[in-house]
Amino acid sequence: MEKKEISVVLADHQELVRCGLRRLLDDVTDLHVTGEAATGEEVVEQARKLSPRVVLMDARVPGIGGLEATRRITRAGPGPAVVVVTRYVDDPLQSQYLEAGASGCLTKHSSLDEIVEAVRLVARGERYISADIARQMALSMQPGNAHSPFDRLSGREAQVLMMVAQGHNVHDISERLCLSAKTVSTYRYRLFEKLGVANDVELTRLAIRHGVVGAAMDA
Amino acid sequence: MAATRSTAQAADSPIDILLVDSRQLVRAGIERVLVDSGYLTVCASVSGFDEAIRRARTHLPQLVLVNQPGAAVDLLDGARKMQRQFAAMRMLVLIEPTDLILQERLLQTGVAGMVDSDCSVDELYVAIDTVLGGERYVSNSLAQQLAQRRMPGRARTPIDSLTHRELQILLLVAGGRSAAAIARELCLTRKTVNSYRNRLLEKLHAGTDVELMHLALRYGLVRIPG
Repeated sequence: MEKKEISVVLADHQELVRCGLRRLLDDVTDLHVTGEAATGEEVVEQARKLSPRVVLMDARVPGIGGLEATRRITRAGPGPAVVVVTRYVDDPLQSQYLEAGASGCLTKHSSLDEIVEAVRLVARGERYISADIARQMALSMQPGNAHSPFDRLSGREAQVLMMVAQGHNVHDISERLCLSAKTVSTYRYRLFEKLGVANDVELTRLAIRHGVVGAAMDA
Repeated sequence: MAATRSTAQAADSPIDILLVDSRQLVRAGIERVLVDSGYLTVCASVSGFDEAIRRARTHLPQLVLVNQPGAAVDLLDGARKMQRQFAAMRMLVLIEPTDLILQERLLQTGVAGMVDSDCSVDELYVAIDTVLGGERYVSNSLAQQLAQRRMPGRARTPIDSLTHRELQILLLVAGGRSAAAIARELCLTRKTVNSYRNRLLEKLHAGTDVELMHLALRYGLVRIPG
């Protein structure tokens, strides 16, 4: 049987990275990069126009973003297989990329060899999740941990969380919620424990990452 | 691959570049682009400044090219440390156009050039040639914005009033570090860290660490992944 080349469309906002990766992938005998895209919209367009076997997508492409782009590319049915490249192992959207139809998940810390391997596998219709992401996903599937760690918070805890994340201090919170400062602190420490963080800033960062609170307060 | 190289550089001796980016895949891509120029070589490719400094001692590269070394605080501190230790080494930083405050601070630390991180391959070559020729280089897109911030009547941000040390501590607090961790990292006492923190709260009109973090977010000094 004749060995066919795997056509690939690359999406990354940095032209230098796209250009370098394109050349590196083109040097692999069975791969051929047929198109590049800098935004989510562009990669959807390219996928439709070029019908590549595989789309290698930076999760953080600007515009509609990697998640929505993945959804639009895979929605149409049997088309390109999408490999999403995230920046961090613990990207909170990791499982959502798979739900949106991605066939593979890797991080930008992966080696080129691993990327090539993943592209070949998904081109054959298989799935590929890098070991570090798989471990992270497995850990987050502990009982009671189904979707987000925030699902396990009580109503009061969630309320205190929101206020801390908006920058209120304990005194403020206790006045507004008509609780003693001590009780508010107890809620805070319980939040730290449940969410595995050490202080208010970490708590807020986690809440922002999970979309529980907005990223910026009003100026 | 024909590069737009200046005639000032002799063809036979390749130029050694030390590449800094926290992500292996990105380093691989950029390294390929550099090597394809035909006259640039990558003598070391590292994920952060600590390693960059170690490797710079042995490799003595002519140029350090920095793409994304992690958080803003790593970039600022790393750039400063490197400039101090290797005065003759040129540093070129690829940076997001929105990171205005970082850009200003980087120029103050004496980096040789800053390039828009969305630049073309050709622009990168031009930037490299320019800084190796002893001049400074700033992408047009970045220079425009930086110049506008210098125009009279433009409101300065409260961040502008911070010293390097204060900014450093702001970035660490915004990254979720405790006072104890910051003290350890910067070799300061906790008391000193706390007095910096109080000064920050005062200068930035903030009441809590979380407010400091929101401010840092708003000015693009920290990012929250995901």
